[in-house]
Amino acid sequence: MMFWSPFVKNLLVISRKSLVVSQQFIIFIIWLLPKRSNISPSPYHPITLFTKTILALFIILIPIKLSSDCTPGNYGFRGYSFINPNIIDANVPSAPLFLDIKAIYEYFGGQKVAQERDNVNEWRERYCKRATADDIYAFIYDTEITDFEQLRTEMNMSDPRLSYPFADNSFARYIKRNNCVETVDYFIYAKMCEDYVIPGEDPWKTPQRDTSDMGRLIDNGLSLFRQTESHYIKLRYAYQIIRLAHYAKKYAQVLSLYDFLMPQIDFDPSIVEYWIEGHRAGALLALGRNVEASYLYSKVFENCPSKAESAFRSFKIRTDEEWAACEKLCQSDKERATLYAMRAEIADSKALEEMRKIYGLDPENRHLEILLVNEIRKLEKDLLGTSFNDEKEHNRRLGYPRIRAGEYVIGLQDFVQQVLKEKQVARPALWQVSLGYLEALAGNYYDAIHTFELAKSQIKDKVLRDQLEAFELVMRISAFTVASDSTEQEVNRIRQSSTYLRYRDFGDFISDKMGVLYAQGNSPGKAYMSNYRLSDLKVNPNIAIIDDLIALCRKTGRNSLETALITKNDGSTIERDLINIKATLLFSEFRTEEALNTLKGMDRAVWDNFGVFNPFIPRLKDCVTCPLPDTANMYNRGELMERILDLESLARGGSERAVEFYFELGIAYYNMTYFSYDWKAMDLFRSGASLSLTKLKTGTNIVPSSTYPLGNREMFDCSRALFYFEKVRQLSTDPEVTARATYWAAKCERNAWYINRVRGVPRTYEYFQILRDNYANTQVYNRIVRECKTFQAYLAK
Amino acid sequence: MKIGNRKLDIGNNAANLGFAKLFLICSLTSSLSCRNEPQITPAFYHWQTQFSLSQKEQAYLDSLSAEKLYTKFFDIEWDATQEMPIPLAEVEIRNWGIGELGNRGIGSPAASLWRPKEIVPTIFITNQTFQNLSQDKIEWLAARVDEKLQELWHQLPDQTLHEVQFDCDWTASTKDSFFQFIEIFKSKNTDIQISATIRLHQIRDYKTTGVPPVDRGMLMFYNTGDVEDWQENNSILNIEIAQNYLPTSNFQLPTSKVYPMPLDIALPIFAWGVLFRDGRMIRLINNLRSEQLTDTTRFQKMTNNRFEVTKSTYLEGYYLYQGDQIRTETIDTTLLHKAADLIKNRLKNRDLTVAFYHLDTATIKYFPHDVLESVCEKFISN
Repeated sequence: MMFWSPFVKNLLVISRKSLVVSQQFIIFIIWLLPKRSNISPSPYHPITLFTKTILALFIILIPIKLSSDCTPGNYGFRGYSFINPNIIDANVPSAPLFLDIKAIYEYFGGQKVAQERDNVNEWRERYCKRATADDIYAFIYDTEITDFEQLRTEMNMSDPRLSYPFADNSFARYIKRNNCVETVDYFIYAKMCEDYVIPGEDPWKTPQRDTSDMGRLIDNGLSLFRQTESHYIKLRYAYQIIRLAHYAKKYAQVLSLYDFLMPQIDFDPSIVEYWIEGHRAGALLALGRNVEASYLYSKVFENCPSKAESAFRSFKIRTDEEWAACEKLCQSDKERATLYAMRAEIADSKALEEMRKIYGLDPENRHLEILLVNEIRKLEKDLLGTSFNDEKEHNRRLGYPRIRAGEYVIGLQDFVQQVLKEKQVARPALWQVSLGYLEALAGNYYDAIHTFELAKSQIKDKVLRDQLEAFELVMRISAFTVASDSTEQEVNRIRQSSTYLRYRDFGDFISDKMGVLYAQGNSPGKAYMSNYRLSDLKVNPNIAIIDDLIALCRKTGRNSLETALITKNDGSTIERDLINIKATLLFSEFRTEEALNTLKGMDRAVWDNFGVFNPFIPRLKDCVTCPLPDTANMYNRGELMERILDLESLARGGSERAVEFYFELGIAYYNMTYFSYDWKAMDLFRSGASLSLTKLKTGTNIVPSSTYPLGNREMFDCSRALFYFEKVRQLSTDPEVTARATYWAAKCERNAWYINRVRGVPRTYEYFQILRDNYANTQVYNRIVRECKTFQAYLAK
Repeated sequence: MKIGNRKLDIGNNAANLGFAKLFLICSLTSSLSCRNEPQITPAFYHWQTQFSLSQKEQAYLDSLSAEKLYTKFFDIEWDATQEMPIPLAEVEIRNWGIGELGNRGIGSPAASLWRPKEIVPTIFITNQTFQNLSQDKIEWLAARVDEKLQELWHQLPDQTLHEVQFDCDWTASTKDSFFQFIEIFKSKNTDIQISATIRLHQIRDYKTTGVPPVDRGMLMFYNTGDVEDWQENNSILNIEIAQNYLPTSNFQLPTSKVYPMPLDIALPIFAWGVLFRDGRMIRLINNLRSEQLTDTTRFQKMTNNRFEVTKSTYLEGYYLYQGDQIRTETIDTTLLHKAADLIKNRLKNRDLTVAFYHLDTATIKYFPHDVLESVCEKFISN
């Protein structure tokens, strides 16, 4: 889809408000780039800290707007979305995974990032926030085992200073100050485990896991576990030991270690507990106990955002009986609701069925809001602007709108109404706003207005109020029925509103809507400019559109919107461009007098601004790019038309030089076609690819173009040139002249075949035959034989 | 004429009788008149991550004198996060004919089971990989694939690597990269044969999609219908559509016959259910057949192979909702014969491998060995 127009596009102001989340993600990704690669030789070069920092700073400066474009899972859908991701609590485990809003996913980052972040935060909490998160990150992730061993040695020294890399690390200093020997011993052990449990940086290298070494490490860990007093460090040891057993594929041992270790630990709630449960679930799954495994995964999913993604992907229920058994394992309705939330998040689920069950079990469940917003986003694709979206055919091929979207939106409305009536959900205002938007999507604007009014009295936070305003604006635009002057004035006001400027999709939404209304209101020019650019019109011009736009340019008392449609960046209108386009089109249709009269609609003094030509030079070989000699007289398009008309008049008037004039006309008309150097006289855009069979399949001179959605009109027509060469052949008594005209006629014959060969038309050589049979003794013939390889081949045949 | 290279142990295996009969007839005929008759090599694809042949599967392979087993070793996909191709779904070799049976000794019941004559490692590469891979990284990829292949291959005892097959749905825009990749891989493995799977559209449009620089092509003669269209009856093998992919060329020959490379043929024996929700195809359920949908409390039969879910339920590990629709698609003997009839006279080469896709305990019970033998016979009677 296009923006409103290039002129309106320039009016858009970039909103800084929407930048933050996308940028955070990009910065995360930059920091995730591998520090070094073990691939040798690898074309993937390591990225230095400096480069990452520069890249991150660069990204911060890039402005981004709220938009539905490029969201993950869109699969090429081209439409509009007006959901503000900030209305969602991004900390709900399912939010980043399933909401299909790029900004939310980006905010959350990938699972690895999230796990590292959670880990750092927990260490920070446990050590009374006496160290910075950055220092803790560096302490854990940017160190080698030897660094910890050195730290362990320095712990016993009286000198409070620490050597590199911990000299300035607040976390290391805290550990030293408080003599946290057990912590350092744990980190040494954790580093020893890393080689066996952390996937290598090179995905092509299979990790070599020596299970006997891993077994010895487990024994070592158990010994350290026994010696440790801190229950938190014991919990960390338990995690390392159980993870080792899991990765060594000792699944039964995982379970026995869990049963042995966990009862010995007295710990406060910790994310590490869920990491351990994840490995226990993995072992159960490997042992075929997938119901117990799935139950554990659901607990991890609910309580540990950094492991939610892997827990969701590992959740495996295969039969109705397994589902019932899994439900039985749940300790509360909240836990049961999580099972339904996980099922609802599976791609293409019928989420409404699951939402009803979640609501029945746990009305305040956090997943309900995520599911609601996700379903609204799907319905936006089905219902928003489907009558005027200029990409609706593309979307239809992708399966939008879904067949039962109409039924579904009503079902969802019923559910939301039930929820609002029962007043049990956590944020009724969000549900009220959503109901209004669902009503608007269903085309029920009357109820939507009423619902939005009710919502206004309930909304307390600014983000939701902004969202409501966006939904109201969508409804106002959707409700336009005619492109009247008052509608245009309202559109102009809307375009200046802050809500319009905050959402990128409003530009497309409003221009597509107005485009359809203009077309219905017999304003083809305005309709065109709503969706396309003047440059598109040059490529495939249309008289009705041009006339409508010229009339608009000349209209007195235009409203602001109309003025915006036809105003260039320099403040002038596009009238002269339109006149030039129209005159060129008429000229290419051999309506030269009309073309000239059209051109006279602008001052003769500016005709030169639209190009100068000289198509009267005969060239034996076609060459579209060869320059003219410096001595050639050049004509602007109007002068050229006048010259053509003069020649036609003289030739028809029975001049003695009629043959000469006819030949000159033939040459000019030939050279102004697609096939010769002065094609620009009759066409404003030419593509070298237009003669391919694929392009010619349309059977017309409008060939498809990947750049120009309405196609590219080419000037293939050599018929007028051929007409004049035939005149020469009829009137000339000089065999040299006739031979020359016959050769040019042969070129016209060949070009006609180029265009028509897509229909299987065989190539003919009528004029070559005439040349060979009748003019073999002329000088022209000898020159053609010398220079024209096609003719040489013909003769050879 | 020759069908495979294996010496048949007729006395020890009753299951071999059918094929042995065929072998004898052909041998006799061969000695009399048809010394130039085509050589057909029966084969199978193994497309699961765990390479663990059950005894049933081994016995089945043995009964068919299957010479080759095209075994998927790993996939290569483009990882957008790392911006590089990565290997996925590497084969896990757990047990296989000779490795496990070798210790059982002559005379044990299992000793007569199938022992692979030839394992052909097959590597699936997504077209997206070549869409994203820059020119300067093709050699790097070929080296990584070679290393990974060797690493996995050495897990197989007592096998000699004769052939490697690449499976990639390349297009005109990716052919240069894919073909260059093959050339580089070949230069590292000059003593083995390289083959590539060929889709029907690549046969039809070979002048634009190109011909890969390999020794042989494996024409995948399936997935011909429009799986996403509810009206389609059998997307696995729609003979009418398949015919359209083998048009005659300017020389009045089928394009497959002018295709400048010897072709083997892969025929389908798999089944699946195509799940539709709200009018849209959303999933394939492997190995699903109509007889698994006879529970009338959950499914209602609409037509011969179309069903509606009347009560939300789990099926084969997927949760289906009330109102979902399922089309089951299978291959029967008649279809396989039609496919063989259609293709047999359209191949330039007469010696070929006929590979069945794919080996699976759930599948083979529907195809007694004599059925597949009869399909192979079609190619002999060319």
